[in-house]
Amino acid sequence: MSLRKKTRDLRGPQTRIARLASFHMEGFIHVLAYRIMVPLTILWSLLIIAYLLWPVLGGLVKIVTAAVWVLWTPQLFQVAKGLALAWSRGMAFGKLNEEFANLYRKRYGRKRGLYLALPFIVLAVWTAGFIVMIARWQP
Amino acid sequence: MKASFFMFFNYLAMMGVPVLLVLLAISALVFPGSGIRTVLLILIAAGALVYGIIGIREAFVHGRRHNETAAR
Repeated sequence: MSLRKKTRDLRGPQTRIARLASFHMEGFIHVLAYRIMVPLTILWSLLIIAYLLWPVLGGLVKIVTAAVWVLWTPQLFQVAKGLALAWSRGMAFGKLNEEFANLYRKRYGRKRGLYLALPFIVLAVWTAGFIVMIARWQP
Repeated sequence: MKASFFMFFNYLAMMGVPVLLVLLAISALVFPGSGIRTVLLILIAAGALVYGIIGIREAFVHGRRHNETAAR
């Protein structure tokens, strides 16, 4: 008879997001931005609808859009990173054992350069879009 | 959190809204004074609303379970 051992994460519960800062700063920034952004996106969407009805709210829409744009950056970076990880079968941003990774390269022959660059390309397009939005969009 | 029917829409908005925002910026650059931005803003508002509501469910309702740990 085997008793299932109850697992306990010594790093603490996931609700305490600050715990991430000590071992995964990138994850902490992402989670923090996400938690601020989630209620803000609801307000933002209601504000956009209000703006479409009363165009005087244009300035406020632009300010909130800029804030959401900035807060969405870590989220988008992580999404691009995750997709690069999946599409490269773990070769980019994965933590594969070197021996296993070597066999993988032999089997699938995937070059990981483009996958490694993907999150940064997305980030560059995103930043360029932000600059254009600030400079050219006059709601 | 498990993949679910709701999370599909969350992922859709997570990737779709940034694409629409970049299109908004491009449209402001290429077609100034066009009505296309109204359509884009309606889509952005719909996506952001869905994203926000599911995000509240994911981060603040499911995330509140105190026994949930990274080891699971």
